[in-house]
Amino acid sequence: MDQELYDLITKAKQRDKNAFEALVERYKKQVYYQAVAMLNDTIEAEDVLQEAFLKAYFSLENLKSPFAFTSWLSKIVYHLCNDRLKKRYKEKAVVSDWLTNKIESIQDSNLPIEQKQLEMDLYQALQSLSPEHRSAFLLREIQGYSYQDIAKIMDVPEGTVKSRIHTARMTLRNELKSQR
Amino acid sequence: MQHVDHLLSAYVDNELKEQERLVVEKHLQDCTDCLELYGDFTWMNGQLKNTFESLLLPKNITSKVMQGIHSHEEQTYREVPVIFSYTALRWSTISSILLLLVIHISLFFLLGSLFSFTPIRILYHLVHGFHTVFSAIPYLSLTVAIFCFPLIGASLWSLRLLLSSKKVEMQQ
Repeated sequence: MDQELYDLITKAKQRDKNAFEALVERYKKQVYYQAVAMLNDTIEAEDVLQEAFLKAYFSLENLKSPFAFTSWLSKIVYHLCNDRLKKRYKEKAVVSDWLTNKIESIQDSNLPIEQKQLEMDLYQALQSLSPEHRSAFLLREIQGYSYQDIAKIMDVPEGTVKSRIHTARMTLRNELKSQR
Repeated sequence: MQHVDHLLSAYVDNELKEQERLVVEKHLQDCTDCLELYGDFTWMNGQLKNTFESLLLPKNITSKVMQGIHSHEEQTYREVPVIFSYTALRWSTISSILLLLVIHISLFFLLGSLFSFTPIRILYHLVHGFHTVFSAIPYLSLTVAIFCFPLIGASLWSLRLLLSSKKVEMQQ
């Protein structure tokens, strides 16, 4: 962690709004990607992003060490998304808004045909994973967390993280192969 | 030959122990199936990152977050009446204790004549008897006094903790 980030977190802990705004600017992408990956819905992901930063701002003083900020924030996002997934499961709503929008935006983009097809295949293959497998896998792939950090974020043993990531990779690979 | 496909995912993520890593690397030199799987895993890594990085963030999201914080703060302060502020709570506790003391002392002086009243006399004798027994046993008063200090300390500490957590709650 660089000194600038350490100072920002320390100032934000004392309710310095400018410092917190700089943190939002720095982490918004990471939070948004994590929420989209877990919820597969851009509108809900935006809500989670706002909720997560709001929660982070008001409970930042409880964070013991500034070094733990990144994984602490990911944990907040993970729990918020999980709550929404549980609610969604209860309502039995099938949301595939993000996937549909993404596929449309890929089709409209100027990417080469092969790349377009590949991205669409990847998105579709990601949907075949359960939220637990998708979350563990994307926390590793997109955010670059270690298995130990992911275990802390998801409140599961490290062995479970290892097997979830492995299963996710195997499923994705098989899905991509069957689409070709 | 025993395949190492169950270790390959952790190998790609550099999460294997040294010994396991060596086993995988040795195996990959001879097994084309596992090598193909390894190739697929590493290829997927790069692709996924590209795919997510093309995702656009919602417009003005930082200012929306900060606006949310402002309005939440305003709402919270509006909801908490001044009477329930931390300072008010502290002063009301202190003044309640003082008031109780004053009432107690004035009752003692005002109702002193009541000592002639039988129940009060019985109570007086009971207290006196208790004091006699108490002072008859050696070291008992000292032990009780020593025991009382940490007890008072713990009570004060927990009261302080309670009030400070109340303060955080109110500020939020």
